[in-house]
Amino acid sequence: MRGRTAADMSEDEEAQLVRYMLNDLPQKDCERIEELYFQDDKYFEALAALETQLVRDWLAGALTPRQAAQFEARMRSDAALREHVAMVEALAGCTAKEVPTGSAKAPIGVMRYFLSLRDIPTGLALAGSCVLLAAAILLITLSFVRISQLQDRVTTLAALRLPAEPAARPSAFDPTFSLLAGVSRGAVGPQALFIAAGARLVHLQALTPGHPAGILRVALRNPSDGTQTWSAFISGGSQVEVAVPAGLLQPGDYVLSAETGAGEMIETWQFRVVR
Amino acid sequence: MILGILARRVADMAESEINFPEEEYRSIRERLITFFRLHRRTDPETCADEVICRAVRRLREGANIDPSLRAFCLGVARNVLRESFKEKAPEELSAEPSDQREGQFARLSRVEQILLLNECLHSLPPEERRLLLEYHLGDRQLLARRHNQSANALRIRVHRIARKVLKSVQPQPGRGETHPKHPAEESHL
Repeated sequence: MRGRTAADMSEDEEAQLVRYMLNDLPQKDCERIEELYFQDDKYFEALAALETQLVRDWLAGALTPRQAAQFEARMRSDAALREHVAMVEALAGCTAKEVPTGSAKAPIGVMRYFLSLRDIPTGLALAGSCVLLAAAILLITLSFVRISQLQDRVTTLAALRLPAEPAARPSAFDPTFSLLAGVSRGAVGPQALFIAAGARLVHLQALTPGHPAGILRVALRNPSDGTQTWSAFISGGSQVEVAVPAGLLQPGDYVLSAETGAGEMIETWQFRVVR
Repeated sequence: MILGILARRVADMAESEINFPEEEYRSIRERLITFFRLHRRTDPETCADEVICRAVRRLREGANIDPSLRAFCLGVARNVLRESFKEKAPEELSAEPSDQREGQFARLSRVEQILLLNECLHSLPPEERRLLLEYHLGDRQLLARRHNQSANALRIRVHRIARKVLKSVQPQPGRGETHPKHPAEESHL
């Protein structure tokens, strides 16, 4: 190395010095290097300068895993090296306006994406934040509504599972009436359905000739405005009989209808109730 | 114990008639510190001072300096290193720093580091400041081509600047910190 400048150092020599600095060289080679740098000022400076490069490469992740481990081992025992590393790390915080972007290595991968976020105007970023916030609030509100609906449904289901009220007991005053299709019972004269005050159920019987057995839907309506007062599903055949709560049958005119489960009307009966 | 060593050193130096120019003294001490750092001694400055102390004593006793004072000091340094290995085995590698002494700069918070470093950087000539930042944060091969220099030459140039910065971020003399003194200075204590 004598008679030469440090700038003339070959790649092999440089690699050997790096190994020496990382404690990865046989003792004999170490001694030779030590003799050189004790004698040669330029060689010593070249060696010291390699530390600058090692620090930079370690921070940039440019060392091999083995070199990085050796460098970190050195750092653990070398306060001066840690000081150097801290200084170079802090350099990154002083750079924003100092280093022209063209000379820096282009960021890669996901870093490029995150760095690009810095260029978004503040107003746009604020607007985006507001939209995200509104979306979050809407989502939370909808979730609460949905939870509330589910709670209602659970309450309804629970109520349905409660034991039904005991059926009204037959009373001695419960009347039974027969209805004929096409005849308005009680529309004139004394044939109106008289329901005693103590009655609980009113039994209505009617004929549905020619209708096969099956489920029928029976409904009680007001003939003037068509409003439904009561309905029930019954097992029907050529004759049907329903028990209507007496309280529903206030004085007035009614139409009882029977239709199939598919909605096909089978028959209607009209009658008048008096008390 | 430190005071005892120092007193002995001062006495030795005072009696010494060895020609030890200050520039040479600092140069040798710097190499010795590097030597002990690279051999993972956690107290390289103390080891270096011990070497100088022994070297001066040996020289006073009439030891032969062959081929040079530096080579002589290197020989003494190897002895001190061997002794230190006997006293304390090479530090086991562990997750925590085996050298708990932390530099002034590394002890600062990141914000304080940046503020201090920024101040130090602005005391540099703009060209040097720019070169230091570009070397550490940019593509150094591209930088070497742009400056028409070899990678080694550029590295040395940057290293000189980094040394200046590292020195400037350390506490200045006169603020209570100790600094190595030339044996001649110590002899007048």
